[in-house]
Amino acid sequence: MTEAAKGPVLVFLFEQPGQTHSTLTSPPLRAQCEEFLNHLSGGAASLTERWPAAPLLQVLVAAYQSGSDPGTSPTDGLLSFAFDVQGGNQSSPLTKAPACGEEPPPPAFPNPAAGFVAVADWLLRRGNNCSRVIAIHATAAPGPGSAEIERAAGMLKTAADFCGAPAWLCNLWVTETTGLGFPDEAGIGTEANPVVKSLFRMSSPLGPAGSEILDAATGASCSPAARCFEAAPSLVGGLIARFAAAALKSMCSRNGASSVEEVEIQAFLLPKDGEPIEGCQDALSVQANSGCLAISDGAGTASYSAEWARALCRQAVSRPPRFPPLAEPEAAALSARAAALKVWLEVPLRDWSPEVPWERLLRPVMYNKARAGSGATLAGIERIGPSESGGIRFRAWALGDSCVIHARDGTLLSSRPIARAAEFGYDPKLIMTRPGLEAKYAVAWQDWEVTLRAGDWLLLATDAMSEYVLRQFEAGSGEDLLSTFDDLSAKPGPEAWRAFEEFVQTRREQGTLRNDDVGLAVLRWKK
Amino acid sequence: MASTYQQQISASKNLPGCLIVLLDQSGSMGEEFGSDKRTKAVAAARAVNTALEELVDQCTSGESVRDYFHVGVIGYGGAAAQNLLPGGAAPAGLLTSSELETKAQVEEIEKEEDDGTGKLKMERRSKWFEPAANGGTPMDDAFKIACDKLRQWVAAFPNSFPPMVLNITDGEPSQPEEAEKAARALRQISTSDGETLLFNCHISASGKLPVKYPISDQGLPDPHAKWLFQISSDIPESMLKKAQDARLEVAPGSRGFVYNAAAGQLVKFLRIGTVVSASSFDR
Repeated sequence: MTEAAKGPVLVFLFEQPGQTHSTLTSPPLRAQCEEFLNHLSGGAASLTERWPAAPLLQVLVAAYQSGSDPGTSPTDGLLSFAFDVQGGNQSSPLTKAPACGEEPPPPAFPNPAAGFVAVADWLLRRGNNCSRVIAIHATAAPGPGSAEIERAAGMLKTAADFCGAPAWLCNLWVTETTGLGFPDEAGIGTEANPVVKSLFRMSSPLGPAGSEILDAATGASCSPAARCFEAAPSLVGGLIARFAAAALKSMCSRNGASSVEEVEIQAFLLPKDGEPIEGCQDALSVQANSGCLAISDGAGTASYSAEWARALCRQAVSRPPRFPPLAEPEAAALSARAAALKVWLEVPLRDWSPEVPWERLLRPVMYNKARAGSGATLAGIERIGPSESGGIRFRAWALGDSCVIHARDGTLLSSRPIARAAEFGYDPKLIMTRPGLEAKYAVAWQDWEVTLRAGDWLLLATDAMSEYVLRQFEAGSGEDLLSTFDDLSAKPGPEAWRAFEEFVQTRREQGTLRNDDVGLAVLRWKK
Repeated sequence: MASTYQQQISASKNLPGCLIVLLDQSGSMGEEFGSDKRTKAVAAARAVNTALEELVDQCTSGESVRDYFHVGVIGYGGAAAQNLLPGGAAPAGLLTSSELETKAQVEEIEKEEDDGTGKLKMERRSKWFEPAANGGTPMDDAFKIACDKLRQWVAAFPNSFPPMVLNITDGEPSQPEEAEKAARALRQISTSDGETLLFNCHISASGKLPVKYPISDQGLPDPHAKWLFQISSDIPESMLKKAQDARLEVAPGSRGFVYNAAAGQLVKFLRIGTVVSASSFDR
């Protein structure tokens, strides 16, 4: 059993100037980092003392040495993760060993990409133990933007999303150049330095919640399309410091606590071959505390479907759908279910609409397509509790062609809502952003119960992977497939992701797995 | 034999699809078509413009139109065939889907529907070309122009899903033998994924029952219908289920051919090039 509470996570990843980047050392970034944490703690002994309402304020501090040879050993004094857990002593925030004691400090990072991946892994291993992730990447002398760094930053954002804790990935360029704080695309301009453009692209949009926080912190009004990017000479004097402090303050009033059985969960999201992770329209969310997991596939035929899929997943794990059963008389039951669905969809709809940049959709085809709305499938599970036979009971639900697949001893026990590989089509049922379709959803919505026994597998997958998995079971190769998944679970996070990418790529090349986005969550109860 | 018609249409991997529409603009297209007194030329132009709009819509995601497709429209009437779209950046002057979007003229038309304030609802439609009806039926010339374009296109994209050519006509070609020869040459232009697909739609105001996607020429009413059947490609197996999902009445062995189509069937026929093709986009 794991006792945990939700609070924000602050990730601070900064460049430790190396031999090739030693010009800007006054004050060095390390000193700025310490000053920044002191600023956040406002003179209190610990961040949790300053923000007492935070049930679990976690701070991760990591450094990388830009310009060093990745093959060299870590530099002396290079910082590793530090954690400030509830009630923790903050007297030596930057050199404190991991408080949870579960894992050794990670190796020093040769570059920001490795740092982003390590933080993503850290988040994935914890599941949903946080309410929001503020990740600040500070660099004094950014190297040229590379696909690898952007991809890793995308992975961090995806990992945070998976944990149901949307991330603000903020980039700070510590430079004498001033006057660039939380700009929008117009603020960056087309003539900007490629490094600035790259950092801007990596930075998260503030979104309505971030804008509200920043506006309150600065007293000014920022662009609705502003991103968390700043070029400033000092971290503490910059907008990011104010943003982080205000964001922490606004989040610290939210908390919650529950427990969960020890079920091992691994989850993967991969875009189509040739697409960046940001182009992935599948979404996953997990709420490990309550044993909730949701997966969704945004319709590629619509605009802003990834945003809709993520909004649905967040809602599904924070407020699992529990709709009235389909009892007799059926018409009344369907009507009650439709009414419940309508209420349940209000939150994700409210989340989705501001994500569409209406003001930028000036061409009719783009505006009309966004107006037509988005659609996404949804499937998920919620832990009910122990079964009489010693298993764990889950309630499962689905609409569309994302599946919940239950296997035991290499045998397929059930797959819903699609039972056979040949049943996948090109026109799945979807939950739309367009209102008034609840009666249809009430008919299409499925919920059922699954009891997991020790050694059982529960797979949640979007259509391409579901089809592949079912075909393997139909061909008698289910046991081999599960053995592959077993091997993946033995690997540490980044390695598992790489191995999964290879697994997917190989099958795409063989033509046995459609080149579609892949969302997969693998649950195994290893008693 | 390697399987064909399996390639996914991909913008990110530079494996676009190619669609060329051949549109009969002969004098007989000026005849009335359907119940609303429009001419065949007007109805066909509207159907093709709508299909192009649908294609752009299928390629649109958020704030961008992705280049899943390269597109051309060739009209044939009078003495020769001609391009109905402006030249674009794709091989042989075809338009990429993003160019297609920028070249559209947007017209606002009134719908017979109240907008809630007592006024008629306005609908915005995209238009790329105007209807025309004039002279003979130089279908052979259209096939030849399409051949030239497709040879250049497959040279640039040898591994893409094979090009699709949708031919809409209301009558017999002026030069049947030349047309047949050109059609056969057209179908032989290949990528590594298969030969060019030539689908034909014969439109008619006769009110006779249409023949949709037949698997043989038995029962076809006249030699011209049999001829169009013969030059039409089989609908590949990989497209059958997608076509069925798009509510086209196809079966294994069906040819891409409709005879005596009314306006509704023409719109559905064009969906082979838009919705059905788009279902294999890697999105």
